[in-house]
Amino acid sequence: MLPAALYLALFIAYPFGMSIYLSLSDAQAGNQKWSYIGTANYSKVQSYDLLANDFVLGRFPSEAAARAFVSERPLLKVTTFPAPGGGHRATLTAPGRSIALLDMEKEEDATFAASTILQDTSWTVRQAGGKAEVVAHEKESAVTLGTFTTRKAVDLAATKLLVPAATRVDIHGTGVLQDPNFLLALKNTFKYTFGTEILKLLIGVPCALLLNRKFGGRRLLRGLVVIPWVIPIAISAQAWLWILDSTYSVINWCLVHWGVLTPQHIINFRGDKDLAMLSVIAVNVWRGFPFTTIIILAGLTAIPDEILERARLEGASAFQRFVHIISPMVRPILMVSLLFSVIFSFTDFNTIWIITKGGPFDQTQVLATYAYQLGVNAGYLGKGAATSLFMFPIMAVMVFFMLQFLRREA
Amino acid sequence: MSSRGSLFWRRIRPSLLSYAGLAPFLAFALFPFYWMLITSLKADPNLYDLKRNPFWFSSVDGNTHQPYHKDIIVPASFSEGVIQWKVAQGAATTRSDSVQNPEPIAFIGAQKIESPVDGRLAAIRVPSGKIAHPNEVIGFIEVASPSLTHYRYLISTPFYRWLRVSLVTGLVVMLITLLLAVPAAYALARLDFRGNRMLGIVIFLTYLIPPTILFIPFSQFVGALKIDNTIWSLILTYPTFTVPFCTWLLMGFFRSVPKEIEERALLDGATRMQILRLVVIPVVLPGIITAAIFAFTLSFQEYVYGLTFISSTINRTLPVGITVDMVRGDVYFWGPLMAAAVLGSIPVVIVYALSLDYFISGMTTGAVK
Repeated sequence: MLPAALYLALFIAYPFGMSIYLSLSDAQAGNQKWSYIGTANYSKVQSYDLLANDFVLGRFPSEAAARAFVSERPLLKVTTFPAPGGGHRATLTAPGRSIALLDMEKEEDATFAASTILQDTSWTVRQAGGKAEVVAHEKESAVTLGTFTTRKAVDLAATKLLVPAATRVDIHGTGVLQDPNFLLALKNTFKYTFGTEILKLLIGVPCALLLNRKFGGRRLLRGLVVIPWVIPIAISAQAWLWILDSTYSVINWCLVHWGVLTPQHIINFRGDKDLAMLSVIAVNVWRGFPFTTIIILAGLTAIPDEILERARLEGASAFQRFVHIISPMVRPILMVSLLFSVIFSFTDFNTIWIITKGGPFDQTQVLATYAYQLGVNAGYLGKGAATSLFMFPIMAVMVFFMLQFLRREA
Repeated sequence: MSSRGSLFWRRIRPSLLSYAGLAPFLAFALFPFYWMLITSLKADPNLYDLKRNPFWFSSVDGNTHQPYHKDIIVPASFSEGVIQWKVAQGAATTRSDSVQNPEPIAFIGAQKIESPVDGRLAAIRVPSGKIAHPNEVIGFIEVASPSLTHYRYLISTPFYRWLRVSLVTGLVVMLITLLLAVPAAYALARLDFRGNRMLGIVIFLTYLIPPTILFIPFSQFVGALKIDNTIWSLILTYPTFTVPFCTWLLMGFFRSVPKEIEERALLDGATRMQILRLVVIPVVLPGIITAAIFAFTLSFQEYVYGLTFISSTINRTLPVGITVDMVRGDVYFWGPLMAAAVLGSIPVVIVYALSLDYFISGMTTGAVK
């Protein structure tokens, strides 16, 4: 008992603790001195950019009045003067008209933002609530109204915009939470997990029901179905790479052969962003569905034949037997297999790394592959550890449910 | 004859519906393996011939309708000279890169002409004793498909070394796992001490902590111990997932042994260790075999640690070696790659075929009990 406990304490608890420590330090490969930097790897904001677009410059009772205002645009000028609450206010002025746009600390900033709105936007008239609005729209991106170091400052600045507009705050920083690729990986992890789990059930349940029938050679066929689960994925995925090859894919060959595609328009499975995700999901489903099948089959064989036989004699159809007897009796075991399977998929690295390496353009990056990318390939050990630790809370929730479940069963 | 036939038919008929229903599932599960095998046996020109049905072999080019062949060309760097054939027309040839120092098929003075492919020397354009010029096609080799050429090529790669690393790691990890997990599982299943059940759950939970969380700290850990890039880094870390799994698996088996047998032995004056060795282990032997199989296959399948800790080509495990070193730059050598995949699957398939029932019981108990 003791050796095993000691080994596990040393080799799981210690690295796990070290992982947490790494994620709180500025550790980098090749850098001997690490220092504690708090949660900066997780989240460290450097600046908040306040962006705004679609400024409503004026509301007019009729469309004609609004159009008249748009035609006055060449006459408008930007003028700034001290604002009532401090700072400077930029207004668009023309003879007989003055529109207060925004307040800012510095005069030149206020002038610059107002000039951008005046000169670089396209003005359109739209109907809103029985009135006509003149909207200034920046096509390329939004107008940057300022860069701030605290959330409070950016929120305050947003209130100083004096015309209605669509505002948004872009957060820039060095923590993983400010990293758009990390957020993409997080989203992809969920997509990948749910996609594979649903498909595994859709394939695994009917396969288990069929294998549960009585027929000759059942043991052999059951053995054959499990083979994808047995062969190391790194090896069997090579066959999938070849099946999904950009030029010689057998799927493309068949589609061309049947006249669905022309040889010039074959599908690039791993190069297209949606198809790449589907491809890795397909490979994971292929590898994982035997596990689901075998677990459900174990649940099915545990159902006593007499119960099903009696139901049959009392006139229950196959569908009724499935809904009222089989599925409630298999549900517990199904839940456990599902939880296991979710954990496997959620933390999966191999399938994605081999099939797409997270590409094209990070579109199939998941937490595990991104952690590898950051921690091993790029050498940012701290950020890599922080990324991989993000898997832990979700795992913990899964395990909590699993334990609740095991306790109820026991 | 006909009565035997109809007997066979009567026996098989009720199963037909099941077979028909299972066919698509089996096709999905097994197609990649069929594809791996057939690809590994196709000679290169056949492999990359889009005009031919890819599901089977062909020995005739889909574009030219000639048998697949490869020209023997005098390299441009050679100077012209009298050619001396080493092999006769119709003889088998071995391509230059498939084994160390292959025999040349011809000489121009002291310059060696090597065979570009495995095949049969079908024609000689420039007979022995005649002058051969740079860039001249002096003959061609007919390429047969199916052929074992890709399997022969593996000898010139570190494939067998990777296989050995994987097998040795798998076996050593299996031993370490059993040494740690059997006593631990026994203690958790039998001995009454406080926190017994809790400890069992903790061990199970450690199985659920994935390698993808641990590989970064481990890479520092093995680096600090100066065992990175050696097989020891794997032997030391693989038990982190085999020990928890096998302990959990074995606990179920130990619990199924009736306590009375042990109590009788205890009354007869046997020690705990003696009971374990003489009474319990023989009874739970199937469980131990299952645990051993899983320890081996889990190690053999491992990928992340092998990829992270081992940096030199020759020390890699098989799955990592195949994925990393059989691809040069962006070029995949599909034939040898598939041949390596087929050969690499064989050890696991053998273990699996010999222990199908143990394996499946392990899958279900591991997940369910």
